[in-house]
Amino acid sequence: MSGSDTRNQERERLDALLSAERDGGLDASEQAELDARLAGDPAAVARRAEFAAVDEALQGLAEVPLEDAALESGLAALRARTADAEPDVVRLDEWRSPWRHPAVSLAIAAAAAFFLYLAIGSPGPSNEPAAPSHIAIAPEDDLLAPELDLDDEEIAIALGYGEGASLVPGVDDADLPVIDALEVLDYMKEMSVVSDREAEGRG
Amino acid sequence: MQARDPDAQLMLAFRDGDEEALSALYRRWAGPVLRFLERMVRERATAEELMQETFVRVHGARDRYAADARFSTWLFRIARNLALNELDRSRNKSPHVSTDAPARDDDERPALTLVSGGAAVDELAHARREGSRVEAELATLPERQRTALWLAAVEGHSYAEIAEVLDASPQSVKALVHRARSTLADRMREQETDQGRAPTGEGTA
Repeated sequence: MSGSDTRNQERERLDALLSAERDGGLDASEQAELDARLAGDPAAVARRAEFAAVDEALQGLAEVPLEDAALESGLAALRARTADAEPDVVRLDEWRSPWRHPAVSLAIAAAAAFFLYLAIGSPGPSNEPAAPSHIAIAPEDDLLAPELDLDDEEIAIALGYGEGASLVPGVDDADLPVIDALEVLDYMKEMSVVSDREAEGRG
Repeated sequence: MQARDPDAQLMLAFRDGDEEALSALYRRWAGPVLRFLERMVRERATAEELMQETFVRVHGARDRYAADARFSTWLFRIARNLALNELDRSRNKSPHVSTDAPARDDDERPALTLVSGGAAVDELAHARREGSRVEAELATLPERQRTALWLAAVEGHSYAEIAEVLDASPQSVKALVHRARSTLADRMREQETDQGRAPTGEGTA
């Protein structure tokens, strides 16, 4: 592993720790690791300030409340729209996972293998799998979209850490295409739900 | 059961017939949902429509609300699904225009009409400039990174809660937030460097 790779990994690890720190997501050992980095590395302190600036700017976008008049106007409109509405109880119980179809499962598994091959076999920005051309669509009347059911261990295995491993906060550059691939899988699964419903609708 | 979530209690009260409970939820959450949707669809009028539709869906789904998660987690999940549908509809109507494409031109971005008064003019201008920059950069992130970062950094949701919104694992959310935050930090530093100002994180590893 080159010195550049090592520096990138250290940088990613620092960023992961700093990000998790901002979200209250560090355990005691990770906090100790971060404290040690901050104590001995002025650049780490500067990076921490950058992260704080990002969050501050984001929060600045959201800090102004809606005016009372706008709220009451919207509330009146909501009451008018829902005055005679009955609870929506349709379709949720009718939903059935597309994974129950062996053909769908096989197709998605094949796609998964393909994307993981692209991601793991050819790391690097120029070989990242293409992003989906458009955003995944949740079924319009399905408030609770189906779950991907990828647990931490499955992701760890996909990232090459092996069975029994757990993800650490640090995510290497080489791991990020895999995460992208998993997102693509998520997209494909959601699209399969849409296709399934369309097929049922035609049937 | 999120017994300690006051919003969940309100939703349960609404489910049991207390109409005023929905009003309380609307007053509490209309603003945050609207701001979230503005980041999703990047058009104020559409975001307002989707915000209203989100609460209509809440109204319609009241009988199946189970309070097995924070109310806001459920709410943002509904809002996100509606926004994704809207983005797809818009894309299908205008196949040559990407509605979620990054727009660095301020003219393409809806004005932030909710900025409060009271700050000094230069401070307000600075805040607007910073807000505009970060908003433009936020819009360039993949939707899942954008959503994860917004819910973590602005709404204060935990990784587990965001995972419910995104249908992902908490570890995936952690990575999404980390990646989004790193990207924004890098881009804001690059912009500051380009503008000839001393970057905040000069000398970063």
